[in-house]
Amino acid sequence: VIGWVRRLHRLGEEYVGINRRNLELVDPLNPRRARPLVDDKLLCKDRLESGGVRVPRTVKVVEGFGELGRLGPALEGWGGGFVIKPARSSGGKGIMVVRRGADGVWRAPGRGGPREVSIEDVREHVAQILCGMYTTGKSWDRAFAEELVEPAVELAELGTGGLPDVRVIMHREQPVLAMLRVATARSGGRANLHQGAIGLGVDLETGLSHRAICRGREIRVHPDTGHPLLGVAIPRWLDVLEAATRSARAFELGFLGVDVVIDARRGPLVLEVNARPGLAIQLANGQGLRAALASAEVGR
Amino acid sequence: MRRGDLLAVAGLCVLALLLVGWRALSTPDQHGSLLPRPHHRLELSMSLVGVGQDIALRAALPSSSPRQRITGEMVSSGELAYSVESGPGVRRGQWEGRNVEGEHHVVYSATVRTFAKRFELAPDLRVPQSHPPHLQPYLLPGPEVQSDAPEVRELLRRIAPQAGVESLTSTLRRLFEHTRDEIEPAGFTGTTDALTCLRLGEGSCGGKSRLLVALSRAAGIPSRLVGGVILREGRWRSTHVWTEVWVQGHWVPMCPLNDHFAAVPEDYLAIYRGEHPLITHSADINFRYHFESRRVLAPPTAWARSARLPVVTPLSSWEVFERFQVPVDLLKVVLMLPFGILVVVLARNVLGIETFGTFVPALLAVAFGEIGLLMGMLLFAVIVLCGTGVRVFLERFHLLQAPRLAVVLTAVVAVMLLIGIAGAATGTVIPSWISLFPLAILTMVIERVTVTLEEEGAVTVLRLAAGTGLVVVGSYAVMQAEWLQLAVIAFPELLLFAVAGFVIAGRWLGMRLLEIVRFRTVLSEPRATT
Repeated sequence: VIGWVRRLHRLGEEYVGINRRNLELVDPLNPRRARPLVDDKLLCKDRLESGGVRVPRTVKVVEGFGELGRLGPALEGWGGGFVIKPARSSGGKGIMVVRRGADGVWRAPGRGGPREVSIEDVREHVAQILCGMYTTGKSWDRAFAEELVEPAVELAELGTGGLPDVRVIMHREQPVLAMLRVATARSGGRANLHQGAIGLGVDLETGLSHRAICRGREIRVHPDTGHPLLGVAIPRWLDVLEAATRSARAFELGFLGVDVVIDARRGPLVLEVNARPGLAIQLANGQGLRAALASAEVGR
Repeated sequence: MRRGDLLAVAGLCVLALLLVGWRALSTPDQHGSLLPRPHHRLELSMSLVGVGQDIALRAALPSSSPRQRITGEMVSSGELAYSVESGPGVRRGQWEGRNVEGEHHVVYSATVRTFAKRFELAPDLRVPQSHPPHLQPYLLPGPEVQSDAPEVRELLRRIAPQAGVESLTSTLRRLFEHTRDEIEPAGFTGTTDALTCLRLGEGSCGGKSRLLVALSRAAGIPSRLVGGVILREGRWRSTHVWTEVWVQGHWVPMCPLNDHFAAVPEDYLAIYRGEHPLITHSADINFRYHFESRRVLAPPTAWARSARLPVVTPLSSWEVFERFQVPVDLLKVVLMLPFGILVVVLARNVLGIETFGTFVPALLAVAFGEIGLLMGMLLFAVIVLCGTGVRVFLERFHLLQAPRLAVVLTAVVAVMLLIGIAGAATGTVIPSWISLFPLAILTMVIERVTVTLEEEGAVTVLRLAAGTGLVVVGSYAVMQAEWLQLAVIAFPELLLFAVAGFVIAGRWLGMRLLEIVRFRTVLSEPRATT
């Protein structure tokens, strides 16, 4: 019993729960006025670009129903795959991925395999976004289409579809924890850990993965592909850290999570920034945020 | 928690205690003027079937007295004419109709507050030699209380040979103990008179009580029969009879069946005194009746009686509520909601239970107040299931959000109506209970269930549903706790404790319980090198 009490105590000393994150990190370090800039993905992209951070290209912004008609030509003119996103949704809600096959047909990946989609389907999805269906607490939103990033081949071969991304937790412009997120068949192409994606803890010095978890359990190989998950090198790691640091500087936020994808051709691109980053990254690293913050403080 | 937070919490608690203490000490607590009391809402339902004949129906109705208070009487008579007649010892409701055809229902209901009462009989009381004229009827034999029968007199001589010499209290004790112990309890229905009871050596409440009346009268102690019911939760048909004897200017209650000597318990409701039928009715009308009662909170009797105190003082919140006519049922909801929400907040921030919508569980717990937790949850689940079915079906029509929500809301209304009709037909659910379900909340929950189903799968939906159910149960248990309702309605400043709870939850830095479960793998690992 005493052993468990000691372990519980250590858990509390080294790890950060939602309550502590909100009270000790988010509230004091992230002023409320700075949050709308990251909560709105479009505003966030503008700010990142002006801060010298590379982001995926925006294909088309839809601000209202009147612009729905111009969506089709814009997407046809774009030619490649694209992603439809609500500007202010959280937790990856309302994201629609569309690939263009060699036959020119649009297909959206999903749990039951890819399904064909038409411009009408895309328009309807955008209309639901505009009505605020995916935006908690708001009755309207903006939608935008963004280029579909083709991940660097080293990362693409890890998992089954989906877009692997690197989450870097920044504290006062210093990286403190990093994690690579890889989709599984079970997560349906999504890189959200609570939906069954894999989290790989990444060593900040080397950019090598040193631990992997899936659904709270430690694993060593990808459950679908059998690809080993330890010692995976993140390509262009220093550029990833550079992008994360620049992103942190672009906002008045002292505590944030930066999501970086590594495009096969363009290198690290910042997808979005989160002012309330999730806490599973601690599990992926086997290291608590409090402990990480303390050692970052020492290194400073 | 920082020092400032601890100070705030301590300050709130101390302030609440001071306010409660000051008001409790400075208000004279007569008849519980501060605390609201649990009352009974009593219903007497009667039904009859006519085939064209003239019909009359009479039922004895309870009256207020120092130990019982009858308020809020309501009578629903349908087509029958209703009148009240008062006689000695009884007040009767009377329903009459000419050429009555078909089934008719009559319901009498009232809010009833009864008090337990106990008399201490001094051991040296004497049986008076003579009684004033108004007590003479209570000394005379009657057809059911044959106090002059030789067998009764013989029994009196045998069990109380010293009657008239020894004290009144001793004689009463002997008579009471004989009827209590020597007469076997029996489940007779109908009237058993004193002599029959004596001869059989067994009797129900009526037989024992009439024998006690007869023996008392034979001993020169005025006495009478009291008829009424024993209040309980739910439905029943049985009535009860006990005895009152005249001692030193008081009618002192005695119940030999349930062993109450010179005492009457709180749940006895007296309806008539003397030999009266509780209900009489015309023959051949397939007459049926039942009593039904449920506990309700009502204002303290002192304030309910009159608005005698003309000035609003801060001393009694009851007085304020009474003056501005805030109903108790509303108070129960409004004042208890913060405590229900406290449960929600603690479940969320300390335990880490996720639910559909932050305050939805507390609001559901309020809605389930009338209908009961189990039935409420069941109906809620049925409505949400049907609504989600409709909502998923609607996908194919590609409606925009607000109109789609409107369709779901309409479907919810229809389902609720169907449940109401089915419930009323089977007698399991009263339709008005379902109408208390918050429509908009139901619709939003259905929407959230559907979006979650689509985005995160059925497992997440089930997890959220289980979490919501759990928090509803906790919230319901707290909001329906009668002692807490009484305390908060009498002392609304107890809400400061809820605020203190919110401050604690709001500054709680520790891990949520379910987070510890989530991080348990790290717990069992060797210490990470940092």
